[in-house]
Formats: sequence, structure tokens, C-alpha cells
Amino acid sequence: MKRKLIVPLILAGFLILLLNSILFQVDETEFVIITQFGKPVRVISTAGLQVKWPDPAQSLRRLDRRLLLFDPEAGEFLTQDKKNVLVDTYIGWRIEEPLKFLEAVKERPVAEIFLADIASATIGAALGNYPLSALASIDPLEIKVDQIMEEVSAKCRDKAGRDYGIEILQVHLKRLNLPDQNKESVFQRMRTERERMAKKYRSEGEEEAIKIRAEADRECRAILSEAYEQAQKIIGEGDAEAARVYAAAFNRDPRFYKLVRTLESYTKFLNEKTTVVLSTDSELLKLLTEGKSQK
Amino acid sequence: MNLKVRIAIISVVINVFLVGIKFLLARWTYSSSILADAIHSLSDILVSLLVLSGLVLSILIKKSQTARWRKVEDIVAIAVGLFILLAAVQIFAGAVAGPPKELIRLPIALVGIFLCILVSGFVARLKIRVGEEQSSRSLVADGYHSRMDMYSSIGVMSGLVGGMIGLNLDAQAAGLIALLIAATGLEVIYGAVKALLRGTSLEEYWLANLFGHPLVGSKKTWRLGRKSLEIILWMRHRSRSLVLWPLGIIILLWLSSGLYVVSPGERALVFRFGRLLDPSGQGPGLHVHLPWPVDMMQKTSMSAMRRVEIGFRTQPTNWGEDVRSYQWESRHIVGKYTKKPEESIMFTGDENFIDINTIVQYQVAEITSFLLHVEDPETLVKSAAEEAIRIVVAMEPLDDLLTSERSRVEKQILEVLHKTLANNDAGIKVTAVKLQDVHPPLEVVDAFREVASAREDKNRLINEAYAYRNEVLPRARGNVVGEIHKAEAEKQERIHHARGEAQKFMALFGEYQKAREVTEVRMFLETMEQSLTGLEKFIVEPNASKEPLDLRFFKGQEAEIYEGVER
Amino acid sequence: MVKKDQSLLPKTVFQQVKAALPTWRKLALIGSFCLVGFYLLSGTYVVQPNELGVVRRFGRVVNDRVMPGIHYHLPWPFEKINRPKTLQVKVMSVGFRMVDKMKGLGPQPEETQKLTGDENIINVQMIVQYRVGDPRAYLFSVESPRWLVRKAAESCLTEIIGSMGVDQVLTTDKLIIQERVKTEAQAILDEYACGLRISGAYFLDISPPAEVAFAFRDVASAREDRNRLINEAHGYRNEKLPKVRGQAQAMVKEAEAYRTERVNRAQGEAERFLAVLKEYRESRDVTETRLYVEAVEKIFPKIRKYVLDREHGEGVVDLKMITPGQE
Repeated sequence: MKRKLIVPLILAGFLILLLNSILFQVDETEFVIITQFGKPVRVISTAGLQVKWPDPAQSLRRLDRRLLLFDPEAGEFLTQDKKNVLVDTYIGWRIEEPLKFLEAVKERPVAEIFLADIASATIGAALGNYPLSALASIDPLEIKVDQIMEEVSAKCRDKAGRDYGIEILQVHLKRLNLPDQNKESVFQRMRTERERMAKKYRSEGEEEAIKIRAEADRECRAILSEAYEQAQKIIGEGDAEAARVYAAAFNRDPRFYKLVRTLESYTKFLNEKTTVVLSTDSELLKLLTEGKSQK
Repeated sequence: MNLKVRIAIISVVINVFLVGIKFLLARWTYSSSILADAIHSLSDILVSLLVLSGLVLSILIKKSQTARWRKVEDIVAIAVGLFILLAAVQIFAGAVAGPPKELIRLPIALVGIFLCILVSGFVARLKIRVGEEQSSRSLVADGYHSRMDMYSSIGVMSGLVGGMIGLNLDAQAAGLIALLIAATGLEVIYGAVKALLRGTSLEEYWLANLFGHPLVGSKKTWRLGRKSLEIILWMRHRSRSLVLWPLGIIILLWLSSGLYVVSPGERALVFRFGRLLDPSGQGPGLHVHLPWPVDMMQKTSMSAMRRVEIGFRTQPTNWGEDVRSYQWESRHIVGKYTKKPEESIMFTGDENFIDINTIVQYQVAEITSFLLHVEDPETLVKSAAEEAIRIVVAMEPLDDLLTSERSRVEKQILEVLHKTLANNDAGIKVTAVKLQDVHPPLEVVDAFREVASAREDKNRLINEAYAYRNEVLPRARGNVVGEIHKAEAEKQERIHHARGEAQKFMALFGEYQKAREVTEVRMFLETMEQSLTGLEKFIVEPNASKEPLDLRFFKGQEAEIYEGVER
Repeated sequence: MVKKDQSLLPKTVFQQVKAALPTWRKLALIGSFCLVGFYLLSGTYVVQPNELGVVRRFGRVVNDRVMPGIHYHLPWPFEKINRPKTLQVKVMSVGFRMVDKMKGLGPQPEETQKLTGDENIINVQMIVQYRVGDPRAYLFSVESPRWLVRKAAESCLTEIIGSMGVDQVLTTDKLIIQERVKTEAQAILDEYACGLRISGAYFLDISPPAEVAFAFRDVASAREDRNRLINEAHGYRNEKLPKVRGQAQAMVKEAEAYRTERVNRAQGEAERFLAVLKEYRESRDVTETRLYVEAVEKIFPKIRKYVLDREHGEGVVDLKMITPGQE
């Protein structure tokens, strides 16, 4: 009884092995190349179920039919104006002629090495003919990124199509940067650029402030001096009025006025700060020296 | 009984040894069929151990307790069987789905497997002979089982021979062996379950059912297998000598050395006793030549793109390192590249050094010259390319090489290289020369970058000056306006002062003119009052002293002299 | 094998279970039916509401728009099903890595830094939102559509930022850049027919690098400083002008006061003079002397006096003898 169970099971397994070697699926994403004792006999690119002779008579190889992305490491290049730039790119490619691809490069990692070789060389050659401003500039007329990358793509496409059976759709510029060594000085330059702006703002403020203050000062002095003028005028008026009043009174007897006024002045300014040196025969002291006899 | 146990132990030990060798070989060659074979042998060891433990148990344990122990044994046997089955399914799935792997170190594997075949063949013989002598059916069955092992190893070997020829049959061989393993597993489970259900001992069951492999046990399949392996059996029947059937294998191997497969893009040349037979060679497909040493074959890929690195080497071992960008100097320190300065440093036309890393891609153009004239094509291409690069670079100035003339230089190098290789009749077609990393030598890279840095510094200095300008200029403008305002204020102030004072004077003057004398006196006296009140004064009568007085003596300080004031 | 009369012995549990168990044949039959059933059922699948199903038979697409719901496909190895989430918006980072962010690591400078058109370096981190537009193209035309989104967006970003000045990028043109990245990256995706639709690109961070961040911030504070200085000056003006106006008024008022005082005093004095004059006219000599003496009386007590004898004082007087303040 166990023979009846186990032997058919094993036979079924054997059958599966055989079928697996005869029938095969081709996926939407792949090419299949059928080789007969190593000689390529068919390249299948339509998806579906297919039949071949069992191994080892015919064996199959699968290759990716999709668009593949390859991202080589960034490299340092020198532009026409002798600036070092780090350029990072990625390449969109696909296998165009499966048989040629199989014969020339065989598998994907090898293909990527070749792609890196030609991409790096072509980018280097292309960048050597353009200044940095073709890659990064404020002036839209100077920028030629698309042109450069198209040039690079065309060269790589030509080479890869001819030699490896690969179609390169486009080489894209992914990143653009400067070597670390240069960054520090770029940062310094950026700092000074900002400083320039900051100083401009600050001293513009100062300028405006000085102007405003000066104007204010001017206004103040104008106001004060105008007031001074007015005050002087008023003082003059007062003085004049006073003079008129005085004159009207004093003109009655100018001589007496002189006397009275002089005496009044004496009492005012001959004060503690006055020293008088008199001679003995001074009229003022006559009474002192000669006594009443004379009187 | 004693002898049986001893033989069983020996067979287990030998099997362990074989399993070890096979696992080792599988790791070396990446062959899934050898791995499958190793697992097959392992499953046999497990089965043998089960049997052995059962035998030992039946001797050691008292009759009353055997039933319980046997149940434990049965359950263990089911677990082992499931494990074996699982391994078989995995190998089978791998063989059905997996893409064929490239096998390496095939000759070693062949020798190793051949050794394994000899050993298991010997063990099988031993078991069968002893079993027949002792009329022990189980040992005979075990012997046939070991022989099955040998056949599976022979299957593996034929797969390897296919690999030598150029046909990859590894997956298929692995699939077949997986089926054998699965059969063993099923057998163990089936037996154990049955023993469990019936309450009999596992050994009894196995012994009753011709212990061993289902394919061995079944007479029909055994005959089938016998027919399919007729040649070997023929050898065995013709002479029972131990030497002859391995000899058969060796002869088969020898005959198979005449078969060869040419892969896509390849071409093969056949030499009979060293003389080239067909100069155009054979294209892709399966071909036959007379076996070694009469005919010998050399093949190489015509369309494969080959690649030589000049100035650096790519090291696949370092690929794991995550280097996101390669700057001029970092390319030689980190990442997957190592530097070969003796190849890359060149002398330019304007007497500078330059570090040029180049890739040369080439194909085989003509197979006979390539195979017959060139001993080491890579070295040839490399040295020729290096020379070509030196020639071309020596005519170019450094700056052009670094920037604008790279593609022209590539073309020139290609031309020179073409000529050199054509002269050598190497059968090599160079398809591309690609300058990779072109830069000044590491020692001066810093200086080169300094140029860019210096330009930045230039801008920085200009910016700083502008900053100064921005700082100073508005302030100056402000000050200018301030000064103007100040002056204007001064002007106005003066005008106003003058006007005010003039008005004041004019007002007074009008009155003064009306009463000159009185006003004069009054003003004089008013002024006197104002000015003299606070001052130190001396009044000296004119005739008080004949000589002038030194008035400082009156008071120890400066004083004003006021003379001649009289009434 | 057990040759005993079973009816006489009590049945063990094991035997009872054994008797209850189905026979081997039945078991195998049920087992195989179950296996076949499971195998056939393995073709059932549910397309979720945000998904679309794509069915492949032997690798070839036979239906690329299976609507949400429960469906059946031929089991493996005949048919395979993929269910891309067409309505789910996914996110891809540009300029940094989600993994780093989750680990709490900062972005790599190589990835974040971008070169602007005026050769400044700035840090840019962006998020691109996308979803599957065409499931068939998404599944089969590009090897890794997700990474294509990042690479396409990054290359667009590099180009766009490379054509703008740093101030533009940092201030005015953020929205324009986002919009351009969206459309230009979409153009690349369309060119490669990868079946993805970008629904938006948004800046997560756009800032000057740490090395220069201070200088950038300083510009903003300088702008504030400018306004502050101007305001201060206005403050000065506003403070000073009214004060000065007050001063001016005070000055005028003072002058007016002076005028009034002056006139009043003049009148007063004039009046006094007239009074004295009247008296004087009545007796001229007496009044004159009286006034004179009165004045001397007032003055003399206050002043310091020295008297020199003209006749006796021959030569120089030794004035050291006369110490100040000594009368």
C-alpha cells in the first residue's frame, strides 16, 4: 500500500521537474533568450506561456526588459573656467538588443560598470567645454544644463547602443556641489555677502536717523531763534517805552536828574567790594581835617 | 546481532564523514546538487540513528517498559521524517524556480564527489556481503540503501561533468535528489505512523518491510533503476572486482572530455596534437572533438566587451562601503578604487605632471591571432594603452587635458592604440578609450582647488569692501545732510538774532533821539550799575599819591582800577 | 496483531480513540480533497477600495483594471495578481532619507546642499507626494518607480535652484519652485512612462547652511535695526520739538514780562523823580546837600577806606602795613 502512495508521488515530482524544464513563463518585465546547447535560437519578448525542449537541450536566460536606473557615484570635474565641481548623475537605460547585451556584457553589474566608464568620461569631456555658469547662474540665457546633458546623453546613447545593445534614454544631472575644500571659502564669501547687506541696512538706518535728528535740531534752533527775535523785539519795545517815560519825566530838569541818578547809582555800586583811597585834602574829608572852624 | 550493530555504527560514522565532505564541496562550488546530495546523506544518517537507537533500546530496556519508549521513539521518528520532507521540498522548489548558478572549482568538486562515490560504493558492498553472510535482511537492505546513495552521487557527478562541458544541469540534478530525499522522509513518517497505530515497534515494521529505501525495496523500480544504470551494472556483473566499476566511471569521464558547448558570443578552436584544425573556429552550440589528448579545444568570447583599468583598480571587496561622491583625493583613499600612481602619473606637453585614470574597452576581433599570438591580452592592452596615453599626453598642455580637449585626446589615444595593436597582430579591437578621472597629482590638488577658493576669496574681499562702503557711505550722506541742517539752523539763528537785536536797538534808538542827554545818562548809569556792582573796585583820588599805587597790595587779588570818578 | 479477545478486556482510551478514527483510506481521501479545495480557493482575492488589480496569466497581463471587490483568479502557477494602491498618496523624500530621520539622524550634507545660481550653497529638504496613476505601467515599465520619483525631483530641484539667486530661493520664489518641481519631475516620469502621478512637491526645510546661518539671520535683524534707528530719531524729534516750543514761548513771555516791568519801573521812577523835583524846586541847595549826604551815609559804612596824607607821605607808602579788612 505504501508503494502505491509513495512511488506515484515521486513520479509526479519527476513530472513536475520535466514540465518545468519544458514550459516556461515570460513575464511582462523580461526578455527570454533560448539557447540550444549554448547557441541562441530564440529571443522572446512577448509575455505569456512558451514551450521549449527540456534541459539540457535548450536552456533559457532571462533579461530585464524594464527601464533601469543606474546611479554612478558623483565625480569631481573641472569646468572650462577652472572651477572644481562635484557632479552626480543618474542614467535611465534599458536593454535594447537582448542578444547583443548577453554576448557583450552578459549581466547587469557588468553593464553598470561600462555605463559608469562612458558616462564619467563623457561628462568630463562635456564639462571641460562649459563654464560653471552654464550649470548654475542667475542669468537664464547662460544656463545650458539641458544642452550639456543632451550632448552627454547623445554620446553615451550612441556608444552604448553600438557596443552593448543598451539604449540610454537620458543622462540626468542629479546633484551639483562643490568640493569640501572649497566650501569653506564659499561659506566665507556668503557670510561677507550677507554682512554687506546687513551693514547697508544698519547704516541706512543710521543715515535716516542722523537726517531726522539734524532736521529736528534745525527746527528747534529755528524756533528758539525766532523766539529770541521776538523776545528782543519785545525787550526793545519795553526799553523804548521806558526810555520814553523816563525822558518825559527827566527832561523837566536834566541837571537835577543827573545828580539824583548819579547818587542813586553810587549807592548801588559802591558796596563792600569797593576800596577808596582818599587824600587828606579831599573835599569829602575837609570836615574831618579842618573841623568846624572853617564852617 | 553484535556484528550488525558494529556495522551500523561504522556506516553512521562513514556517512557523517561523507556529509561533511559534501557540505564543504557545496560551499566551495555553489552547486545546489551537491548540497542536495549532502542533505540526502544526512537524512540517511538520521534514519540509521533511529534504527540504532531502537536496537539499543530493545537490548537495554525491560520488556514491561518498551511499549512507552517505543511510542516516544515513534513520535521522534515522525518529527525527523517531517524535517527530512521539509528539506526535500525546499531543495525541490529551489531547483524548479531558481536561476542556474555559475559553478566554480568544478575539478575539485569532481574529485571530491568521485571519492564519495567510491566510499559509499565500498560501504554498500560491505553491508550487503556481511548481511548475506549473517543472513540479516535488514543489513542487506541497508546495503542497498547505501548503494542508492552512491547512485545519487553519480547523478551529481554527471551534472558536474555537464558543467565542465558547458551545460548547466545542476538544478535538474538537485531536483532529482530532492525527490529521493522526499521518498526517505515519507517512508520514515509512514512507518512511524503505522507503528504508532498498530502498537508495534518501528524496527519490526522496518524489518518486516525490507528496511530501507522505497526504490530499493520495490522490486519493479529496482529493476528499472538497474536497467537505466546498465553500464555500471554490466561492469559489476562482468567482474566482481572492486576496481573495475570505478574504472568505468573514469572511462566515461574521459570520453565526455570530447564534448564541448560554445556559449553565445563565443568561438572555439580545436587543435589536433597541437595543430589548428579549422582557423575560423566553431560558433555557439554543442560540438564534439576527439577526446583528450588527441584533440584539444580553446574557446574565448568574441563579442564580450573587455575592460582594462589604467591608473587604478576596482576592488569588488570594498563595494559595500557607502561612498556617495568621489572627490579627486578621496578616490584614492576610500571606496572601491585603489590607486596605481606608477601607471597614472604622466608628463604633459607643458612640463607638468598629470594624473590620468583611463579605461580601455576592447573586443576580440580575430580569434586565431588572439589565442595564438597573445599570451596575456590584458597586459598587452594595458601596456600598449599606457604607452599611447603617454605619447598623446606629452603633446598636450595641462589645462587642455583637464578641461576642453578631453574628447579629442581620447580619440588620439584610440588611434595610436589601434596602430600599436595592429602592428602586434593581436586580434584585438579597441572599442573605446575613456578618460575617467583626470586631475593634477595629489600633491598639488590642494593648490588647484585653491584657485577656486582664491576666486571665492576675491569675491569675499570685494564684498567686505562693499560692506565697508555700505557702512560708511550712508552714514556720510546722513552726516552731510546733518551738517547742512546745522548750517541752515545757524544761518537762521543768526538772522533771527540779528533781526531781533536790531529791532531792539531801533526801538531804543527812536526814543534816544528824542531825548538824547537824559537817555544817555540813564543808560550809562544803568550799565555802570550792572557792570560794577559785582566787581572789586578801587577808587583813588588823583592827588592822593604822587606815584602810582600798586593796587594789588590793597587786596591780595587782581582788581580793576577806576580812576577819576568825580561828581 | 494483538490476538486477544477484545470483548473480555476493558478497552483502553487509546483503543477507543483508534476505533473512533476513520480508516487510512478515508483520511487520505479527505486530506486530498481538502488540499485540492485549498488549492482552488487560493485564487480568491479581495481588491481593497483604494486598489486596482492587475492579473497576469503565465506572465502576460490579461486584465489591468480589476475594480475593488472580491474576485477569483486561476491559482498559482497559472495566474498572478498584483494590487497597487492607486488611491493612496505616497511620500518620497528629496534631500534627506526617511531612514535617517526615523533614526533621528541629520541629513547628509551631500544630499541636502544645493548650489544656487549665484553660487551660494543652501540646504533644501523636500517631500514629493505621488500616487499610482497607471497600475500597469507602474508595475512593469520601470524597475524602481519610487526611486525614479526621488531622482527626477532631485534633478529638477538642482536645475531650478541653480537658475535662481539665493534670496529668491529663500524668500519670494518658494511656491514657484514647488510648482516647477512638480511639473518638471512629472515630465520626466511621463517620459519614462512609469505610471506615477506627482500630486505635489513641498519644502520641508529650505535654509542656509549652519556655517552661514548667523549671517543670514543678521541681515533680518539689521533690517529691524534700521527701523529701530529711524524710530528712535523720530522719537528724539517728537521729544525735543515740544520742549523747544515751550522754551521759545517762555522766552517771549519773559521778554514781555521784562517789557512790562521795565515800563512800570520807568513810570514809577519817573513819578518818584517828579515828586523829588517838586521838592527840589522849592529849596534847591538844601535838597541837594541832603541828597548828597544821605548818599554818603549810605555808602561809607559799606566800603573800605584808606586815607593818605599828601604832605607827610613822602615816597612810597609801605602798604604792607595795611592788612586788608583792618580798618
